[in-house]
Amino acid sequence: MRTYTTNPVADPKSVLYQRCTIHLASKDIKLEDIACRNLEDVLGGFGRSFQMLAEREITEAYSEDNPLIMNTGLMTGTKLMTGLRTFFSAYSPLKKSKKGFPAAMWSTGSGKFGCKLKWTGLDEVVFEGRSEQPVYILLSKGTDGPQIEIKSAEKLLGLTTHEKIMALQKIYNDAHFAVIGPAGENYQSVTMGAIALSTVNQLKSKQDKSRFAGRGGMGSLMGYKNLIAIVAQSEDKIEVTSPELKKINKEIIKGGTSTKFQPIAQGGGGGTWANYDVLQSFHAVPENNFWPRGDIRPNSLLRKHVQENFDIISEGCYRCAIRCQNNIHRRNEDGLTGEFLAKFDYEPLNLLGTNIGIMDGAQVGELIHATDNLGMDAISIGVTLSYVLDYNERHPEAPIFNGANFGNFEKIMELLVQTGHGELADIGCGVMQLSEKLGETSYAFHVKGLELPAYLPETNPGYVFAITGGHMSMRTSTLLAREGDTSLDSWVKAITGPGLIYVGSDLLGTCKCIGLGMDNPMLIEAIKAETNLQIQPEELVAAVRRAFLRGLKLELKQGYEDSEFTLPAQVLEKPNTNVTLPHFVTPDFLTELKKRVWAILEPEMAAL
Amino acid sequence: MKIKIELVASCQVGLFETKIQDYSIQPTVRQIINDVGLANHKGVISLINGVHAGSDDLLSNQDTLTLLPLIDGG
Repeated sequence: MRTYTTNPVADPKSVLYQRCTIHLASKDIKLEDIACRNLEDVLGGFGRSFQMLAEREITEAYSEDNPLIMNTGLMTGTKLMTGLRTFFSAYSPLKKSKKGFPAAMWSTGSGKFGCKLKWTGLDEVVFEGRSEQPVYILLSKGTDGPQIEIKSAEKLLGLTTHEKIMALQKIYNDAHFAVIGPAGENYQSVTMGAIALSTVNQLKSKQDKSRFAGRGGMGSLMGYKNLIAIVAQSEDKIEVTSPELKKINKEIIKGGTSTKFQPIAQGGGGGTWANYDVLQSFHAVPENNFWPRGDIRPNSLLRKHVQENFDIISEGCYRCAIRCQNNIHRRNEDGLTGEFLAKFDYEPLNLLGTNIGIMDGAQVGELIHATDNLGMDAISIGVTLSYVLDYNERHPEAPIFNGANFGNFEKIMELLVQTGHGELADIGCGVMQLSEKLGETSYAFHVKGLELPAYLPETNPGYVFAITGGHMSMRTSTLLAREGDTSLDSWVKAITGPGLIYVGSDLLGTCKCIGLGMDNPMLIEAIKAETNLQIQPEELVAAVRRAFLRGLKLELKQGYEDSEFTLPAQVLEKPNTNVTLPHFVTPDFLTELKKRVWAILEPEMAAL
Repeated sequence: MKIKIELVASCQVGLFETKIQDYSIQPTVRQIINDVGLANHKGVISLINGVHAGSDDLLSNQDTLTLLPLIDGG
């Protein structure tokens, strides 16, 4: 990116980003400097990509007109802690309106790939069309600017995500990688394919410690395009960290904003795993397809019990001292730390654990491990599997697939592996299509076609307005547990205010665990220190807001109707009294909430 | 009066899981948070008998105060 102004709000066109467009069929490659249209373009991420997607008329995700846009945020590759994110945006093969049109989505992940990409000199790569043969793209920093090569990926086909990364690491020094697994390769029967991003830890330890851009099937879209992997090769940008940024990074660690995500040994909350303990206090940990039973069975997956038999190593991404990752290793007979099993984040831990009736840490670890290596989104596969198990429980006389039930590890693993290899399209294409095919939709836990994360929908009506992952694009998933407020006013305020501004990090390129709000002076100062751009807090908030609303507008453009802005019917028809959080989401509440939220958002959307 | 105090997750670190504390007058939630040593904890969720409570809410004899760490999605 080149900047010829310090005021990107008044003069965005004086900020130019470098885009590479690769036409995979013709192998044409175009490099261009593009002037930013607005602050959202400057900030990057989905703020920029959704403006491009809005210009396209896309009725099928698997079409040559559907671009896969890979970009970074303004702060990716800078020295601001967590400035690591890569974004993948497109019309999703998984999330669709009832009219059948794909929704625009983005997915994001950390590791070091984003930095390496940024340091090639590229801010954005657009993959157009599809290649006839399986290929991978090499993006590197040349003496005269970015170099782009298209290479055969025949030898990578069929490998797991980790195997692909290890194979590419042998060929390319000073590089990081974005790859798909067998799931993405089998895109026709798996629309929930994820993209695995390599990490420093992974390349050094040779353990499968990737990060994932999991949501929305971006890995499946790569598979459709016959784009099997992307290599970003560049020297590390080593510069002296300014005193201002050192102070900000220190404050991020010591000042409390990221404490929740830091290791317990560091005085932190231990990452999102801590959500388990808190939600279990309310019997709100999803069990057996989002139906907590009000007992202590989920306790076996509380950290304090898992660590009785496993070693938990807190690790972090490149240059990140937050160390939010809880990596579970088996313990050898001699008491020493053994084989790496899986990373326990709240979502996969629950959705491949208690929510499918699995209460054993080792089994959950193996399911997560398989999901990651096959390259599937843990949330989507977990929720679709929990639906299958629920269906089988309701229909013992005529179960589907292998008749798996909640808690049956062997049969669940069989389904997961078969799905990841493209053998079970009815599972691989997500819970909305499966439940509609079976004619039983009330307990299919999706909203607007995207499987829900591990927060009970009866505790979070904000899901209805999320524009991508339910908990990462609307900050209301833990609101009820935190505050206990059930008033309509508070929910309208949360959704139309801080809830939607949560996506700010998905423009900037930082992780949400940084804990800095978009109006935090430290963030403004960090932007100035690293880019020399001066942005006022209210300008940043306004840009994030516009980006979000553009996303909501895109949903309407893709045919979503009011009836689809709702929660799974079971939640509204049959409240679970085992959950001790207040029950407040009734059909009337939801109707009134939507009316008031739309009344605020629609005029703003019309003005875009 | 006797107040049962329950600490959850990282709130327990270096402290305890459950204990009964005696008070001669009704304590507030804030007072108990200070007494147990969580004043510097980066925010807690407070429940009195399972219901969300504010810092200035008073506890009565036989009440249970549960203190949980703030959580976030991810």
